[in-house]
Amino acid sequence: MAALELTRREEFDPAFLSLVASFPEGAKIRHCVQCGTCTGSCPVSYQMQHTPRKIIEMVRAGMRRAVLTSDSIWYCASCYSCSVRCPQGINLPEVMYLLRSIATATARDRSAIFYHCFSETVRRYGRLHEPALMLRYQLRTGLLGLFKNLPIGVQMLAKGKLHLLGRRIGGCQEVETLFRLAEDERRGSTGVPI
Amino acid sequence: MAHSEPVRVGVYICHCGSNIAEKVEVQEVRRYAEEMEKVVAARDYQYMCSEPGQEIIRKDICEGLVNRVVVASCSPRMHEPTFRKTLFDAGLNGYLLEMANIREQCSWCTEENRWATEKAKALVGAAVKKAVLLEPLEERSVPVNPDTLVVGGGVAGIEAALKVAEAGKKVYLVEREPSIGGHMARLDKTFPTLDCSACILTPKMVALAQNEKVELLTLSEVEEVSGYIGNFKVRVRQRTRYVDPVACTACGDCRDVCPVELPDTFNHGLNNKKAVYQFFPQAIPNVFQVEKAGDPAPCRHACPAGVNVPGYLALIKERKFAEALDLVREALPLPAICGRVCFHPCEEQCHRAQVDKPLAIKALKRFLTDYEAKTSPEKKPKAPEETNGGRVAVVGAGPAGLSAAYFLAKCGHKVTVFEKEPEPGGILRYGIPEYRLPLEILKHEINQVRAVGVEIRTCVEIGRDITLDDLHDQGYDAVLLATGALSEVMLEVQGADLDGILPALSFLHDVRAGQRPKLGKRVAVIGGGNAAVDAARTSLRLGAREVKIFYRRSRLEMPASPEEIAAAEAEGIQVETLANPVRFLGEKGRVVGLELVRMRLLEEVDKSGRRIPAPVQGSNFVVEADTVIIAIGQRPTLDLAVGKWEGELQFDKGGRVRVNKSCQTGLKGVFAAGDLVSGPASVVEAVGAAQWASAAIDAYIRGEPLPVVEDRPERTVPFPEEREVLPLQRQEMPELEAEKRRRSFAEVELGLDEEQAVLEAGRCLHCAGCAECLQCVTACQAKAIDHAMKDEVRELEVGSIIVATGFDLFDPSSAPQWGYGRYPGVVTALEFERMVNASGPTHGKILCKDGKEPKAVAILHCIGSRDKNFQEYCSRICCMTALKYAHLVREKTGAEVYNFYIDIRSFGKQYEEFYQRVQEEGVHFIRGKGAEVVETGDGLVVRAEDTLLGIFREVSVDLVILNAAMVPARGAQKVAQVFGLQTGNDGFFMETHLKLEPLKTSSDGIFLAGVCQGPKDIPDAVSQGAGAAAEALRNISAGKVVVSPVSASINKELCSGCRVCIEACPYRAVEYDEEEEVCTVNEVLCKGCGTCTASCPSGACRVACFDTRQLMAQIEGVLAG
Amino acid sequence: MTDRSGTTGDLSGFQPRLVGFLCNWCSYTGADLAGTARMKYPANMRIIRVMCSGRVEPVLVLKAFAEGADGVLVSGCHPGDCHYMEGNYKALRRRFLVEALLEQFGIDRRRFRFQWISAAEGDRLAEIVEEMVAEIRLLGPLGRARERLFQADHLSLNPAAGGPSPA
Repeated sequence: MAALELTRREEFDPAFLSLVASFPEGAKIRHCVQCGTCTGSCPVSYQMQHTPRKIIEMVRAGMRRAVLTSDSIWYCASCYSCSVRCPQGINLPEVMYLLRSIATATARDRSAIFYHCFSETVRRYGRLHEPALMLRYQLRTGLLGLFKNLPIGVQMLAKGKLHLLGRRIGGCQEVETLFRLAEDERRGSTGVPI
Repeated sequence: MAHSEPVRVGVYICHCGSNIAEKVEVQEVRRYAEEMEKVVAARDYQYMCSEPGQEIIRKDICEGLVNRVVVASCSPRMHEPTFRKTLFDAGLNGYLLEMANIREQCSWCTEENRWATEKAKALVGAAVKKAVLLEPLEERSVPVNPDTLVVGGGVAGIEAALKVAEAGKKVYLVEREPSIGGHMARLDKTFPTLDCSACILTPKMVALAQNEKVELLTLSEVEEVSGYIGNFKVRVRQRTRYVDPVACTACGDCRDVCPVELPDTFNHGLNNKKAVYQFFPQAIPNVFQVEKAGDPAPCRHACPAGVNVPGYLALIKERKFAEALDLVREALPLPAICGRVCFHPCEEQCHRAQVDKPLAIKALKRFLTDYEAKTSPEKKPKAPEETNGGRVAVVGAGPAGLSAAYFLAKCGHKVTVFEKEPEPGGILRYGIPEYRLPLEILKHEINQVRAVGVEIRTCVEIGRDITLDDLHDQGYDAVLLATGALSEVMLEVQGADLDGILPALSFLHDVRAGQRPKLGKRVAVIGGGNAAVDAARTSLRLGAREVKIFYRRSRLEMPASPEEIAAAEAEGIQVETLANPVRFLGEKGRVVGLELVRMRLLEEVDKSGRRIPAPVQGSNFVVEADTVIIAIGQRPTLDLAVGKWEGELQFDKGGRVRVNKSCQTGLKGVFAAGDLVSGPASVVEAVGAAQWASAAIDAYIRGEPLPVVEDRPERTVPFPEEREVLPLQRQEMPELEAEKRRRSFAEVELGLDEEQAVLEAGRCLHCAGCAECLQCVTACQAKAIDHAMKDEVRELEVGSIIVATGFDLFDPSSAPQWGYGRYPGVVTALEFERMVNASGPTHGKILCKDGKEPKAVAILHCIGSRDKNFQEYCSRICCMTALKYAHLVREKTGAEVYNFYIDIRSFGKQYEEFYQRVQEEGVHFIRGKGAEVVETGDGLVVRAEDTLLGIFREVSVDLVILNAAMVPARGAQKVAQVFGLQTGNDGFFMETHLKLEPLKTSSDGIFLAGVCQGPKDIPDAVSQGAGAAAEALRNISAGKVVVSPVSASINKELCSGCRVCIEACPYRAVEYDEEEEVCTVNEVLCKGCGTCTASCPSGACRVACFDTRQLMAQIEGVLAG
Repeated sequence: MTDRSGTTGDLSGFQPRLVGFLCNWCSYTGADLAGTARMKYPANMRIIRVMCSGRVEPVLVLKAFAEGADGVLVSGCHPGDCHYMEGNYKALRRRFLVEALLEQFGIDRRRFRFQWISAAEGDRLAEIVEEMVAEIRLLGPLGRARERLFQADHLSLNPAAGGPSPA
């Protein structure tokens, strides 16, 4: 008699763990004993949707979607307290960056979108141009947001913190080169298109 | 050795089930072996080490088919003895066996079958080629000494010793602490039974102490081990207790009077103990001991007179002022003087300077004399009852002469001091001014010297009123010359003969003699020593309007004491450095000024180590002065006719008398001390010299060998890093205000009062432990204390050694996140044990640092264990210990308890049930390692993730207990080296086999027991103790053991007698035969390492089984094909 | 992450033959430990047991090279831990001699390794074998002594004068 499958099978994908473990920083998560020192040391863990320790466990279980759309990977402040104290010597911030890379390459949630808007803006102007960033972001996630942010935008404009017209920096060409090299390197090592 | 019959090799390949066979193609290897030269049979079997497997080999041997055996199987470290026995059983010498390791070093470590098989073939081939060259060896037995040594008196060592002793065999138990008991003696309750630890341990301790087969050597350590199984020689150092363990009744009277407090190591530094102490109430042996650092305290070491500084400071702290002064007077007959004028080298070395400021030792010494003068002014030292010594003449009543006279008189000699001045004292009377050393004080001190029977004759000058020959004729047995260095160096410049230019010493002399020398209004003093400053300050008091000191070097090089210079400047005296006079200017034969030149310091240094001053050309300047006092140096002058004394009086270039290391001059019976010998120095140095001189004279008169001045030991005790010392203000010597001082000769330093003195003396750190104040000796009615006792070294001979050296706890100070060492509310497991133990510093009450019981306690698991940052291993017992603490806290205080854990490892008998019980008691279990402990306004907060809930938590507590990992005991590395033990990566000692031989080591005859082999609980430690005893008793019972015949031998024909092998051998097993001029190996001592063989240039030396030809054959075999 | 698959992945091409002299108490035990822990390392290394690294004399190392070894390892206990007290120090002294000798023979001294491996350091042994195999594969085969002697007649002995560089 076939056992009733009570769990949602699509939630658990072993290929996700293999992907993460194929990177040097990701391979060490197999050693995690789930002690929770990382969460306990993390200054922002109390804000996270899933604690850092739980993220690791979710990666190990193969919960691709849940991990890549969680806010935890974006909250990481890179303070390295977790990494210093981890009894297994796991470099959590590196894992978080890795997950961000994978997320931005494959996921379509708001964080990933924001990331793309941000980097596209920087790539074009060589620096951040807030109006361009917000325009791109809101175009992809809903123009309503633009109106929500209008008051702040006006205040910033008044104080000279915002310029309506974006200006490119002198070394724009070099910034473009940097971006391209980074893409090539990442593509070369993972085969994951950026 | 010639082979008598052709070699026939049998090769036996083991499948080891599938361990070998699944990777190595056994048949292919077998066929390969079969084809090899000299191989007559190649067989394979599932389990070669089993009975049928061995039978295969035996059969081939018995049938005469095979006379060399190769077994290709697991590591020879596993089964070489097994197969050797197989050969012996079949009638073939067991050393005609060679094994090929095709399991651990082939099938188990190789990925690809093809490669594993090729490697196996190579290894088998090598083994065959070596086997062909093997020769039979005769095994030797050695007798086993039935005595056993157990190292470590914790529960494992106690158990081991008891079992051996109860079997009727002698045991030595060496323990480095003052008592046996180890960590178990410190515990309160033990899990899971909650037995009181001491209650279950002390019966065993007592049984051990009472067993007549046991010899306990506590406060002892093993220094060296040599020999081999059955025949070990062990050197043990028994450190002295300074207490006779037989006489001591453990009454504690000594402890009650001891003034020195040191950290109590039994209580892990939670409180203090006295320097003479009982380790704990149930200590065995039940005696007291004195803790001394071994090296001298820096203050005592620096004092030229060797005054026992820590001793009298300790007595002052206890308000035992009379006893303190007696202690000072043992070394120093002039305490009131040194307390005023000494340059205090002791204070310069005081370790307290690393915390705040050095102790005001000089001021405290003076306080003692002030106190005596106030409370018992008529007190005098007693003259000795018998004066059975000789007659001694002391020439010069300065500090050296007076001190020597005092010491000699106390030894029973009749001493007469001859002094040329009208009053005794030398530089004390006629040099140092009144405001530093009042005459009244000096007179009192000199009377103390007279009180011991010293006669002082004044107005008698040696050479003029009396000669050395006279002293000889008058029947003096010895003479001490102590005439000082009173001749002054004058400046040889133009105008030096003008009126008004005075030598400093004669100026000071005249003032002290009661005269008032005529001084001008502007005084210039040339020089930078104390004489210069004395002269300057004296001039001021005699009415000079302006006084300036000129010194040719810089402030740093001024020899005068900094306090004197500061006092002078406070009084308005100007000090100008780097200026030197070039000539004096005069009018009408009287000085009116001086021309000086500015100086600069060169890089080079002179004999005194100071930079040489050189004039700066063209920088001359003139200063007005109507009086100039020259204080640029002093020399001794002594001109004596010797005649009737044997020998010759010799002087060096500076006018100093030459003496040998026993203070004797070139004249027999004439000694010298003080400035006369050393050149101008200090009072305390003169006293130090007088000590040696008087000891020498005493020996000389009694006809004993003269003592020789010893070099001082190099080392002093370092600053006690481990102590927590809070800064405390130094009690400074109160002084008369500068304005009042300028025109008065009243004493400037006013002296500390009683409260100040006690406070100041309390700042002493007692760096060297016991201060040797000797109050304990007085208090002990059993007369058991003797501070002169020395360590004893014992040479033991034993047959077996059991190492049970235990553990220490990981020190979490290196991990700031848990706050240990920073927040007082964070303690380690062992500290908590002492707290909760009724015999501990809090009498069993669980208290926070504020003295109140905690309302909430956090217990953190896995501190320093299961952690790649510290120790990777799991420390096995911490979970159970944590549960025990949770229970105890609930029981004693009812506080909320939070256990922060990763796993609960309750593996043992009744452990899981104990866990359930603790759960029932309402303890909160948070599954998440305590990540950090922080301090807030109200207490401590532990941060962790509750992983079962998936949330971050902050829990407020008053007390945090860190369950820190067990780590190898302090000094384990040294123990490993001494006993030849191997250590694993974790630092614990390595057993021969983790599963099957947990108690044997790579050194035959040396066994392990307890936590030194790895973390474990008490039941396991006890079991291992009994097991180790069984190992030892096995050998003792057999009476003899077989030792490996693998040893070296030397072919006389080839040996050239170069003796390189002798140097190579660490066991001194090689001897040189003088007659035959060759070397020979002592088989009993040789351990078969082969180092000599490798060193031998002529190939005369060979080691059995690892002969060069055999190794070469292996090399060929392994590279064939 | 190093892949301990037996022969550094690539099974084709030159496979160096390595000989190791390991002392019984420390290094040989460490090698046993590597096997017990099923650590996989290249099978190129054939181990010869000696009781002490102090037993290893230069002639044994030279013999190994002469018989065709491409690399030789000598390993003993860490300083202070020698079962026979000082044998490993004597071995260390000889190591410098061996390295100098090898240079004289024109053998690249990287083919010879001298290590301290304790009884607990199975992983260290595996790591060292991996390193040696990788390095010596790059250096290439040493060749048989006979062949080299054959070539020697045609070559100058001074590398600086355009002679052979160490093989």
